[in-house]
Order: sequence, then C-alpha cells, then structure tokens
Amino acid sequence: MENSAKNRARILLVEDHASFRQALAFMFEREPEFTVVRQAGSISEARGSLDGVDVAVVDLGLSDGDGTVLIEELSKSEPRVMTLVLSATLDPGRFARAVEAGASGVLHKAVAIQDIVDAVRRLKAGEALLSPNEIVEMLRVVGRERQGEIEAKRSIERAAHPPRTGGTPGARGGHGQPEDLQAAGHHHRDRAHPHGEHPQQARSPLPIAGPGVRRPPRPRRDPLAAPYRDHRGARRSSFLALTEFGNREPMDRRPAA
Amino acid sequence: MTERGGGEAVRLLMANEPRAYREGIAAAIRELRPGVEVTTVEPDDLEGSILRLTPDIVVCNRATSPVREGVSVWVELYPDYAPWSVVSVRGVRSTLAEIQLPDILSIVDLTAGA
Repeated sequence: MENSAKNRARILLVEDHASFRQALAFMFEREPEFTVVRQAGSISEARGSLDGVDVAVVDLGLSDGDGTVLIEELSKSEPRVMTLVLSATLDPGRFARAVEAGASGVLHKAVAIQDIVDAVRRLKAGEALLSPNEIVEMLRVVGRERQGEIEAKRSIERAAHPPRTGGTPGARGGHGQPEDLQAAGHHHRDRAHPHGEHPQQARSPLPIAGPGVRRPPRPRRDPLAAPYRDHRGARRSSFLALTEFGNREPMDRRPAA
Repeated sequence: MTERGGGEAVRLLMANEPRAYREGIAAAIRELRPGVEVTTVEPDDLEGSILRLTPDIVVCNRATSPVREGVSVWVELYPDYAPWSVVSVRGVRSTLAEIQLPDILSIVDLTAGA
C-alpha cells in the first residue's frame, strides 16, 4: 500500500548545483515514502524553507557560506529535523564540524545515488548513520583543529607584540633565540622550554606545557587563511575556509558573458 | 522514443564527477527520456568510451581534445565545481551560469531532432 502524503518524510534539499539538486529530488520523488517539499540553492534560500521539514540534505560548499551554519541553525530552531550532509569536500574537518553542529550523518558526493536515498531512509527509520566511535573521532578532529587555531592565534599575537625581556635578548626564549623569532615559528615548536616552561606561558596564566604535561598541538595549517564562522557564529581564521573556498575559487570567476 | 533523424536512439555518455551527480542525472534522463541510451563511466574511461560507443552527447567535467574533436554535442558540467557549465552544440558554444536539469533534457531533445 502506498504511503499517504501525510506519512511521507518531507525533505529539504540544499544544494547549489541545480541540475544535481533537481535530479536528486526526482530520485526521492520516485520513492513512495519521500516527498521533496523544498529545494534551495543557498543558505539564505533555505532559511525561509525550514517549516514542515523532516530531513534536510545539505551541501557544505554553498555560494553564500558553509552549510554548517545552516545545520547549526536547524539544530537549534528545529531540533526534530534530521540533517544529512552531502558534500564533495576532501577535508574530514569540515564533515566533523558539521557533525558537531548537529548533522546526523555525512556522505561524500562520490557515493552512489542510491546510497543517498538509503541514508535518508535509515534516518527516517530512526537509525544512527554514525557510530558513537565515529562521532567521538569527529569531535576529536574538531577539538584538535580548534586548539591548533588557538595556538596559531597566540603565536601571531606574540610575534606582533613581543613581551619585554628586560634587555636580555633570548633570555626568555632560551637557546639563543629571541622569543619573537620563536613565536613566529622558528625552532621552538617541537620541544618544551628548557626550564620546563613552554614559551607560551609567558603570556598565559595556565600551565599548558612542561615536564609531564602534554604540549599543546602545533598549528597544522596556515592560520592566515580566509575567515569562516565557528560553531558559535564568531568570525575566525582557519585553513578550513581556505580549503573550502580555495577548491571553489572558480565560482568567483564567472565568465563575463 | 528519442531518436535521431535516422531512427537510431540518441547515445548519451556521462563521464562527469562526482559519482552522485553522474548517476543522479543519468537516472533522471533514463526515466524522462526512455528512448535515450544513457551510459555512465568514470572520467578516466571517457576517451576509450568515446571510441567504443560513438556517443552523440558527452557530459563531462573537462572537454578534452577527443571530446571536442570527436563529439558533436558536449556539456562541460561544473568544471572544478564551478557554478557554471559550458555547452557546445555542433560547434556553437555557450556558457550557462546555472544549468538546470531541463536544460540538459533540452540538449538531448535538440540532438534527437537534428
């Protein structure tokens, strides 16, 4: 017996590549248990389309921002809506941040089209697409990246505003290097301070490194990359934005005619 | 049936990435234009498939020389994930800022009516 319209899962598709979005909508509409109630090509379009949706399939690389922003908004305003991320990104950190923002599952666009339909079917049935271990690992990825950004920011601040060292160059930094050189990434990053004090303690009230204490992770990417919005909506600098918009740079270079 | 002038079915070869795009658009065309022979291959197999299948239309991400020189109708779909696509119909090239599924169906129909 066919599902009545009332029993169908109502799907919102957020995808900027219209021909794929329309084909995906077509695939869902072929299934008796789904109906695509809205299609949006951007975050701003999707914001006006959230009422009455059961499942949102959201791309991350949208023309007006990262789909994670929308996922976070959805998880706050419509917590019953389940979100499936569908992205072509190769950056696991982006998938991880989407999960942190509230996504119920993530799929790469390299999957078979039927896998997308099946994933939504599983979500609708109440199945978990991610195991607890996968979620924990994703949250770890986010934590490591965030810590790396914090360390990078501190390094930049130290380089821009080196502390006064009482007229003895290198006295605080050790190993004959002024601290501003170390803070700029020269030489200090792979070892703890010789006196059991990480150089960052000079500006931090917290003992974040030293003997027996885990050193903070090093910044792993260019901290000067383009800004993006973090999980709280604040603008931050991160390599992630560089990855995202770097991959999509041609989008900003549309042909004149 | 979506046939060319001589009564043969239009042959459409899809070799674009990512896979979900390729399969999704191919599935929609198969249903909406049942007379079209739609074949999907990995991008690496594009050139060999052109020789083997002699398609009337190719959808790919980058129209290489074998595509440009050997296929009369081709679509460069979202090159490098750009929002635009390039369509070439018998040497007449145009850029579509935001290609829609009906645009692709129109290209198929145009080829069939040739």
